[in-house]
Amino acid sequence: MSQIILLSSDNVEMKVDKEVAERSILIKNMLEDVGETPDQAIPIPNVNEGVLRKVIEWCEHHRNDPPPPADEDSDSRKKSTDIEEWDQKFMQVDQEMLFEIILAANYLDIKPLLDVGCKTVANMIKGKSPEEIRKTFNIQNDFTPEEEDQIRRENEWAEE
Amino acid sequence: MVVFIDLDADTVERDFPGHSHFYDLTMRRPEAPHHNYNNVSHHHLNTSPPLVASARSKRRSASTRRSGASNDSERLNKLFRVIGIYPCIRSIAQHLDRTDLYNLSSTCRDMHQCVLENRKHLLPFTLRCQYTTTSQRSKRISSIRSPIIRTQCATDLVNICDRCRRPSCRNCKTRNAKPTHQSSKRATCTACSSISLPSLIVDPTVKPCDCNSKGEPWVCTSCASIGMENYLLKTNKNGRGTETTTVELECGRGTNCVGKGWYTCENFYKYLDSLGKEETFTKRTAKVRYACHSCKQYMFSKEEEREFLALRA
Repeated sequence: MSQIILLSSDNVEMKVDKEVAERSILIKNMLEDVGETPDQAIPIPNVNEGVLRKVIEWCEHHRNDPPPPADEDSDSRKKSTDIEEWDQKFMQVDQEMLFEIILAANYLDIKPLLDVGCKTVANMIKGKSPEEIRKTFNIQNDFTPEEEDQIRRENEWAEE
Repeated sequence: MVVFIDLDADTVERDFPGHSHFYDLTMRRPEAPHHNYNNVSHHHLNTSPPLVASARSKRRSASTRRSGASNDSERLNKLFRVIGIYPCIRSIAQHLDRTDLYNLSSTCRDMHQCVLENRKHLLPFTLRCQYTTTSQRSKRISSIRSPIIRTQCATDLVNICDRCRRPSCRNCKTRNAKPTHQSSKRATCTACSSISLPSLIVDPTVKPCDCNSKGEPWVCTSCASIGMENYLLKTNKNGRGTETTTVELECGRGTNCVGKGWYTCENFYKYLDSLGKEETFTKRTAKVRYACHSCKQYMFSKEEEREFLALRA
């Protein structure tokens, strides 16, 4: 099986099966444009070694997954916050790494990984009060009492 | 005397109470120029925070500076970057309802601005009740549960049904699912019921529940009505319900049962066997997981049954 080399932002080269790397639509499109397997390393300038390794680990595990449906929005009613057990364990990382994985998935255009990451974040938010969310993400409340009152009164989310 | 005010600084309100109009302007500026979000799907390869204004990022760095630890501010910056990128916040919003988005936007100024900027585009993607369009079905189901006909689904409190794993709103949620009722209980055998509570707690095999419990089971009316049909079927049996048989039922404590792992239920109706459920009941050795009204046991789904059998194996 042909392999390609990915170059992380901190200049670490990683050999990956082409099939695994092609879980990334960005890399897949690029390889299709080039036409043949490149000998040189493909730079991934926005992703460091640690995150790239995690992303590759996920791609390795999901290498045989069917491609996600093109029109996913039509199925949005069926969405639940359930995450596959392996993915759940995979996402048991510190928050910084979790956000980096989401950003890398977005950059590399790996929709299923982006979705798993976002589901994990959504699960951290779902059903919590603002104070609980602040505690979860260690966010400081910088609203003045007047602003808080104004937000409460306006509640923009109540309108369609 | 001349007073200079740095509008980028966070300390304006603290130092000059009543001079916080700068934030009022940034907070609700419907006419403020936005990026064209009609093309947002093309933004997703851009890792820089494209939807975040530079003034905001300045203020953000000021607010994170206050928090002290640089690691923490880096982490927070990444969180705001995630929230600031449209495909990411859209994907997050797909699993949240409006209450959650409102709560998220109420955490701090940056979050408020990030989420509110995309409000119009996020609303269609928020969690919607599965019955939103099937009003007829909703009417029918609600008429079973209560005389009040609910025609409209709520969008502000939508959760995943514990049984069918589909979103249902607070209006379509079953009304009688209370944690104190049988829905949260599983019947236990006499041996387990008779041992003292402390000895159950010190049992090393019993692990405390680590799930993110919502406190109250969330079951949609459809699932509840399915459960109720069977429930009525079992308890009423042509209006009488005197015919009984002996069936062995699994103890609710499963593998942690201190007794035999099963107990005898005397009020189980024979006719269930003749309702196309022979395959479930012919194997008497495989313990039946249905229970009668007197056992007050929750009706287990097939998935739970499979899980349980796998656990036993």
